[in-house]
Amino acid sequence: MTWWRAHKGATITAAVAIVVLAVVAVFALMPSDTDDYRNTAVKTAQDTQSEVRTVSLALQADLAGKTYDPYLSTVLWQARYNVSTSASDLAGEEVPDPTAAAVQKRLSGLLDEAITSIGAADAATGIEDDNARHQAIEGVVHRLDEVGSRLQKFTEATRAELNS
Amino acid sequence: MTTTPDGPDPLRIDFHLLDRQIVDPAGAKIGKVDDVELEVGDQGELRIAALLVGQHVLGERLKGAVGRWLAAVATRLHPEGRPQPLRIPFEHVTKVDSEVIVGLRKELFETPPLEKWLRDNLIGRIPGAGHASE
Amino acid sequence: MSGGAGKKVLGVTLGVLTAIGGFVDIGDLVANSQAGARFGTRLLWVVVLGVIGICVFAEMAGRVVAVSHRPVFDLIRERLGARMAMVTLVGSYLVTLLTLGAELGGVAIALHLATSVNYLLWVPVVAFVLWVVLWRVKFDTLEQVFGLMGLALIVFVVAAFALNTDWSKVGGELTAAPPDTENWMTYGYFAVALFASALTPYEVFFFSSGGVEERWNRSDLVTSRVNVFVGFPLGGLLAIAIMVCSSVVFEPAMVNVSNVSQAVLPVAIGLGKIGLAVVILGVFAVTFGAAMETGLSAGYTVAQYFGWQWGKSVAPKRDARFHTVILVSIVIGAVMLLTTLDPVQITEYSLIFSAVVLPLTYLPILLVANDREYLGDQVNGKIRNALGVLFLIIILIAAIAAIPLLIITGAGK
Repeated sequence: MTWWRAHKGATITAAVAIVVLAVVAVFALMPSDTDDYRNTAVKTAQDTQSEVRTVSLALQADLAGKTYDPYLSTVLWQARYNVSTSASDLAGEEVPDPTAAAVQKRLSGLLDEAITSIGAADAATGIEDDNARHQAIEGVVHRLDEVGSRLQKFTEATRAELNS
Repeated sequence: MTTTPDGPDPLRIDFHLLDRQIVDPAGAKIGKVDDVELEVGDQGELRIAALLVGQHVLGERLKGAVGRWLAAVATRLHPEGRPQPLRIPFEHVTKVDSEVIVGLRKELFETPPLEKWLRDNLIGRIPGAGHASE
Repeated sequence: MSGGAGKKVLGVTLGVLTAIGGFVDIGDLVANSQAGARFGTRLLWVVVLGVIGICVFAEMAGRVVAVSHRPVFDLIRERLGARMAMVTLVGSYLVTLLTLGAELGGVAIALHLATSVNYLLWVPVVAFVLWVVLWRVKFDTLEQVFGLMGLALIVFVVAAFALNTDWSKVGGELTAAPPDTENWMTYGYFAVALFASALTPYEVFFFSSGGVEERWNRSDLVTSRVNVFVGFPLGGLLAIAIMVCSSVVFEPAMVNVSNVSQAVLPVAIGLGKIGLAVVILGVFAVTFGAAMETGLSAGYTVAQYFGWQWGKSVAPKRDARFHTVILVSIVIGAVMLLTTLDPVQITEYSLIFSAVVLPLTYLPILLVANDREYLGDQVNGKIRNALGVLFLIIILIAAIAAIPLLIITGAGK
């Protein structure tokens, strides 16, 4: 009893810390099921869609003469960095079953397309000749918007599966 | 008791003294009233002998996990591992207000070891440490 | 007009302008852009609520300083006791540290956007310059310089009009439930973040300590009130403009905002190159200004808890412990960024944890503002107390909800 009194604060702190660690550990180690995987996939698709469309918006602003190079290159760098991080995070996720594997296959194709499109944006903005640059950027914008809508469709479809 | 400082009457240790800022006549900050030292007077009454300043006495007053931790850090930070509180005899207290004002200049008190160590080994060695901002 | 009166008017104007620029920091920028992109203007009311809250409590803190000359953290220890104040100290120091890291990141990213040199290379430079500034330069000059430069963020207001905003949609959303893609949990999460972005605790630590250093007295009460009641609402208007711009550009495209580079894109789209340059300058100014405030606040909280000498009016070697805390805090903030933790995520967490420690910061202000021993005839009246209690309840609800919402929504994802 006296021990408890003397160490009440420390014991409570330790107990809280252990509970928190246990919860974190359970969440981290719990084998994921199909729905968890779908949730992760939806989040990844949404993030990628955001990046892809941001690049598209920035490129359109550039075509209208509304940005300058350091800004544009930073947007491209950030998008490339974020999308490749999401892609490698998804690759690190355990795929629990064939349904999840199908989800993974569909999404990773879209992520690859997103990464190459952003790469194409990089290349297009580096073109010296004004006309050629303009045309190339227009092409990339088109391509990015297409990837963007496919990502959005993926998100909506996967969400619908989750809710069914 | 020989002298009573200006301030609330009756003076409550917990409400008017503990945890208040102690300053010298020029307003320089000496520390907080981390604890008080009591003594038994001539008529057997308890009276305040001194204000104590120091992280270690604060930790000892607080007890519990927070108190032990404060005291342990104070011991660790002290060069000889034996921190002593700064003791300010209560007769030096001239006024108890939202601050506790003492009649002696800050320079007359011993500099706390941590302040002294940091001044001598870190802050004092950086160019410009001797002047206020411009 | 006599020179004295002219100077006073100038002082008020400068103070108001500084308060406008100083209201917005990386937290407001991130929270308002994100909320606008995902919820349109459905969460705009939270910004209004937050602005009223900061006005109520900043006015109280200003009055306490002007009459009793005590900064807020002194009061926290006197009123909550040394033990509870220690808990508050640890909590608010860690939150201030996190915020300092986020602001440093914001400065570095603004430089990245202006130069295309990676922000991580800017972090050590920015940290060093920040430290030199806090070490050597007289603070109020810089506060004014950065506060005025921060006014550049008014471009968000201009952009909101240039973007052909559909104001009837904005109005219609004000009282609307969350959109189909969101739910009440994410709605609550962003509401807490927005609320905390308006009320961040370092603001009152900084504000009250600055008042003590400048030796405010009763005659400064009017100035302080004008600064608060005019400056903060106008600052809140900038925050709202950020939200509106983001909602116009990003919500229809279903783009979530996770980078500072996205947050400024609506201005480029609305106003072109010049607008973009001005907004990046504004982001740089407000984040650097807030980095100075958070760096100093880190020192203030610790020094004021222990009763150490603090402040910029004495030579650093006379308050070595205070300057050591600032130095160490800046180093920790910079190291946190150099581990490549994302500055926007640091910002998000700093807001949620701010919400958690808010009650412990604001309760003592309310208590002391009612204490005749401190404030004499300047104690709170009935209306101020009613508002204070009301906001303390709201702050408490936000604090209790913050961590559960963080966990349930996976940080708003």
